[in-house]
Amino acid sequence: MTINILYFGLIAEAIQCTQEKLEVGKTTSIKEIKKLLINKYNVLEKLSYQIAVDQKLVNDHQIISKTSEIAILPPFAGG
Amino acid sequence: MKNVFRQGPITSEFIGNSIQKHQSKTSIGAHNIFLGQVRADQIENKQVTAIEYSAYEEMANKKFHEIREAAFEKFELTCSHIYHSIGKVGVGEICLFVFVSAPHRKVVFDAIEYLVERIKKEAPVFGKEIFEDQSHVWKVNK
Repeated sequence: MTINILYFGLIAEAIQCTQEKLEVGKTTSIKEIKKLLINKYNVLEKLSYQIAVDQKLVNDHQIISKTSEIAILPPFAGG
Repeated sequence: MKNVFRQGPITSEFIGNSIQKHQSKTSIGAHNIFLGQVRADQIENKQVTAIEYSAYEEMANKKFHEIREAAFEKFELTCSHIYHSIGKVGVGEICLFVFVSAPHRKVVFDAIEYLVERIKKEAPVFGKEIFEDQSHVWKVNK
């Protein structure tokens, strides 16, 4: 299935991309997504980030579905 | 969903107008305001001149909404407003405006701290600290 991934701030700058579509298996966990992304962008291994699925922070065990919007979020700096 | 973000700095005029709008709400006896201001930090001998804010706006607006709702449940408030800058804000300018109102003073002190701390920790907002020579570093909340 195709998933939509958004990148923000420092992460978007480091990988030179703010949004892309990725092809993944039907039942894919966040852990697997992370592995896939680190393979594609080695620099991610050294960076700190959280992942949101459909605008909620999730842990590595979360399984994503076709409609999920995945966001890779660097440390927050509001205010 | 209310959009919390405002392009550029939050002006004193905007803040003044917000206060004035509450004069018709006569059950209010106490307001409290928090203003976040961009600091001219020195980082490795370079001085910050501005912060450029970006955000996962959809998630941030949901989060701001959730935080406000939680504050209303926790404290006896009449009103609560949050405004955050998006885009470039120069040093000395205001980037965050949190405004709470209640019949009595005690709760507004607690409520403002609760709101500001949760915003800093939970809102997906990102800040690029820009130096005089246009180079930058990414800010991280402590």
